[in-house]
Amino acid sequence: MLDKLFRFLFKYPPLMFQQGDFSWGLSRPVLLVVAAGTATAVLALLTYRGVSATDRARDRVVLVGLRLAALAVLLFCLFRPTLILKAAVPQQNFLGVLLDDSRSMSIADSDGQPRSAFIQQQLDGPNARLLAALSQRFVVRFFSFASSSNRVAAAGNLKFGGTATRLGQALDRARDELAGLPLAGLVMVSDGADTSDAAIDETLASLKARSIPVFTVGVGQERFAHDVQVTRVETPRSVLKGTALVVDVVLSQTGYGGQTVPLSVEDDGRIVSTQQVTLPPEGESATVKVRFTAAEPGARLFKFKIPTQAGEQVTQNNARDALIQVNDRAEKALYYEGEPRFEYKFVRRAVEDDKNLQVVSLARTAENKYYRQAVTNPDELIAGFPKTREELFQYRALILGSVEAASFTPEQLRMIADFVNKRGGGLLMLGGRRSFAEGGWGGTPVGEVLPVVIENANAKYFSEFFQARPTRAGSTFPVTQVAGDEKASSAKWNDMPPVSSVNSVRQAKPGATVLLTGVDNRRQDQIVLAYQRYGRGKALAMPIQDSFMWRMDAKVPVADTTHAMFWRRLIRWLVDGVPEQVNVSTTADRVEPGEPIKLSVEVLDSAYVEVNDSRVLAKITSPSGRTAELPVEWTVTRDGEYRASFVPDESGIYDIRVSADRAQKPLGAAAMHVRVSAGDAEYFDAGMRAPLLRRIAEDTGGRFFTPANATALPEAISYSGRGVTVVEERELWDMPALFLALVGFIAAEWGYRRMKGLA
Amino acid sequence: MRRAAAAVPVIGVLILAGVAAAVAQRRGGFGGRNRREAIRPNAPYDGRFTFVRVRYGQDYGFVSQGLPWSHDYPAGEQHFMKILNELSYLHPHTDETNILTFDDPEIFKYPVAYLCEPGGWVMTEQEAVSLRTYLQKGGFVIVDDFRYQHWGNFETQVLRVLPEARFYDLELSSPIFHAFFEIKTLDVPQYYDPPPAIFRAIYEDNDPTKRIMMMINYNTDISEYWEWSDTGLKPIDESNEAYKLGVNYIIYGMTH
Repeated sequence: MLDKLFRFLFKYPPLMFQQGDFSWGLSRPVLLVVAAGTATAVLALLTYRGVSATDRARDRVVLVGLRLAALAVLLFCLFRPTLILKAAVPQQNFLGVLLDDSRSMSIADSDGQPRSAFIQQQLDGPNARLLAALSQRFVVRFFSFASSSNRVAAAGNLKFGGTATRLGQALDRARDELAGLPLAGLVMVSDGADTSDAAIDETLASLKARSIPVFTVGVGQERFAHDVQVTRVETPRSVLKGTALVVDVVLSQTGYGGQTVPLSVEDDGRIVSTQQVTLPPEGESATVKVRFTAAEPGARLFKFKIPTQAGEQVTQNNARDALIQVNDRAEKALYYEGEPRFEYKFVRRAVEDDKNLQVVSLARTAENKYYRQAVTNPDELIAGFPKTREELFQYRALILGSVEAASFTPEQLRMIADFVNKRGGGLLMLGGRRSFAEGGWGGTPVGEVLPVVIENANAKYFSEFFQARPTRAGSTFPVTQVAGDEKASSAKWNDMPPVSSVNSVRQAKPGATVLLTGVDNRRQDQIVLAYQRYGRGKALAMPIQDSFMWRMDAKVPVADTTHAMFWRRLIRWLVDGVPEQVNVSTTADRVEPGEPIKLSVEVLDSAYVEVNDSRVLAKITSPSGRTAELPVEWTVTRDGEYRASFVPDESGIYDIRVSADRAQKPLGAAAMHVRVSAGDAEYFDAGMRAPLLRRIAEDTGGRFFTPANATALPEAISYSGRGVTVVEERELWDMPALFLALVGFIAAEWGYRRMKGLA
Repeated sequence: MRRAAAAVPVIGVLILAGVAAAVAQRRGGFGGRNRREAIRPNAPYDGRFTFVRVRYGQDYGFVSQGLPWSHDYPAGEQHFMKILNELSYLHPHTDETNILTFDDPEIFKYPVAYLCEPGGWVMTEQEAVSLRTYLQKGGFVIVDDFRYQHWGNFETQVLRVLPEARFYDLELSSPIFHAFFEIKTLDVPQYYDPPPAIFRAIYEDNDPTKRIMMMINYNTDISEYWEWSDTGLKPIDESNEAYKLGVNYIIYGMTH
């Protein structure tokens, strides 16, 4: 409406004023006439100098002002204002029209119509008005784009079934395809819901450099009226079988704020967990901790799902999938205890039935006398604590009990620190009279690694019994959440038997997270469990001496397995994600059909030093059972890093096993799975992304349109000044606005005189 | 190294023998075990290993020969703890020892307990329930100083606690005989019982591949050696064997 009014008053649409240059078409005769008229007017005014009048000064000002304004309008017209435009020559320029062919275009959020309706109505068929208008001016070339971009003969060829949207790739393709042709610009009709990870900056810079404007037409609503979305699920790529997982699920919604809905977790179709969650307020995201157990081994597809709510506009974004490799193997941890004590016995008891943990234990019962348990072979740890890196680094976690730092050589201390920092293992130091400050660990490389500050030793310190309680972080941490939900876990901790400490540990290091804490008999805080990431690994401190009370205390029923659960989870967490000598990863656990799977392999020797001269081979088994071998080559740019890629030709789960050897000796092997399937990313964050489309347009010199103002698109492209153009001069002196202004000023003067009795 | 470790109890016994006279005097001479002796206060819990002797029957506030559970108290455990302190890194309380009943919640803080002379062992229902819980959670009980005529009562009491329990005769290959010292023979010296000593055990879930919950020294009295090891009444070598068994039991109980 405003646009039409503007066009009526000023003859041309606003964009022509934006695109054009303003100039005066003043000729010399007209200039002489204007000069003569001005001189006459000045002389006439001078003759009035001596005339006295009875009217008021204000009236004189108003009347003179109105007369001068009328004269100014006349003068403006006499100066012949002109708009200089570069107009595309009809049918001399090409126009690339890029049409979004992805699934999200079928979302019906435009007055009940799918987003694709705009394309079907305006750009397809004989009655398509926008197409007709464009075709009059340009040679139109259509491109469809989704996960890839293709030339299409007509908009009617689109199926709107693409499983990804890659705006940058589509623009690059059209730019390259139309290179060398006179190009007026590109039109991109899309909801802007880009699903690629790549940044678009390079594409836009390239278009700008080539002076190719992109005119974007954003279809769909920016926000849905009614929608629930499982925005993100953060799961580990691989876990040990039987691990109790607590994963973050990010939810968002519109139209259902504050409602409680069930959130379920399915393991290959079988529901393994359901919990009630409260949806966040409008426009906000909420992170929900979801607990479930990875009970079945293999590559498991977990689905996190909220049922469809009444009136929801997009139902496909109510579920997210995550592929998790559930490993059924026994991970090795070493527990070195410096003295016979009950804590040792009960930690061992807690984990001995866990088939996926092998806690090799070494108890120093007397000087140079060790008692070994759960060793793999008779020679393991025969001489006590490992003396070489190769020996120590075979374990994924190390638990140090009540053992003093002085019993290790300086090299062993550095080795333990490197176990965390370089090997990426998990280290746990337990409380005891030979631990922390009391064990002389302050100032050692290991003390550096620990997440707590080791203060002055006090051999007489005894905290008495105190209650361990979870901190805010601990209340949702997988190890310390000891019951079904946060509230139940907190209640359970309140009910747990008290524990004691002989190590006064009060301060966590910056960057460390305290999970359990308590208050000792001096009313001072005592850390019970804290951790921090250090280098490639993680380090924990548990400065209490008798967590076995959580099992043995008289009030704990025999059937209460909290102590065992705590320790299993703690050691599982310690060994979780610890790198091997050969590690394989891909950028994503799912790729689109036809998209390459890019493998990245890290190869280390037994001392965890990068290996560059290894022969690395990937054995790839397709979903149908076909196998292929793929050599993986060293990247040269980074030590120990090897890369390869292949394009899967089947949908389903690919099994990838990588092995590495050097000089005919195996260094190790690794396995992972990648899912090849059409994704549902199109339905997530699927609101029309106006900011992105606006940015594409503005960065390239184009304009952003919506279906409501798309009729102005052909003119906007025509006068963008790109391609083969002619210069057009558009006279502006006959704009209705000027005539109305002139009449208005004269009428106002007349009216004023009548009102004041001066006529 | 092994020889050196084996020599340590010998040294320990010599040390104890060296102070024999003084200790004997304090205990009222070698015949003083018939005297009543006041029970010393229990050591408050501080995380260190504390020897726990189980009391059954009425609490008279003293120990005497007439109260079989208290036989050898306190010299037996004190000597034993001193030996353990010398030999190992256990770092136990050496002078302070505890006396607790099976139904005392405090006993659950000490997962190794010692039961003496169960020939006359009697339990309340509460004690039986509590002992069952203690064993099931991970507690380890050493039973000592009883013989043939006592087995019936002992078995009856144990079956009250663990009706499903089976008693296994242990062989030398059992890990408990190798937990610290390498015990070479089960034909151990007897203080006064006619040989042989019989070593029995109750396993968790009656499964010999699992841990021993109750170690039973039947037809023998190793704590008698502990008590009198500072007197020279018996050869040092014999006392050593009794200590070795005791040390192995404790180390086993702390690791299994």
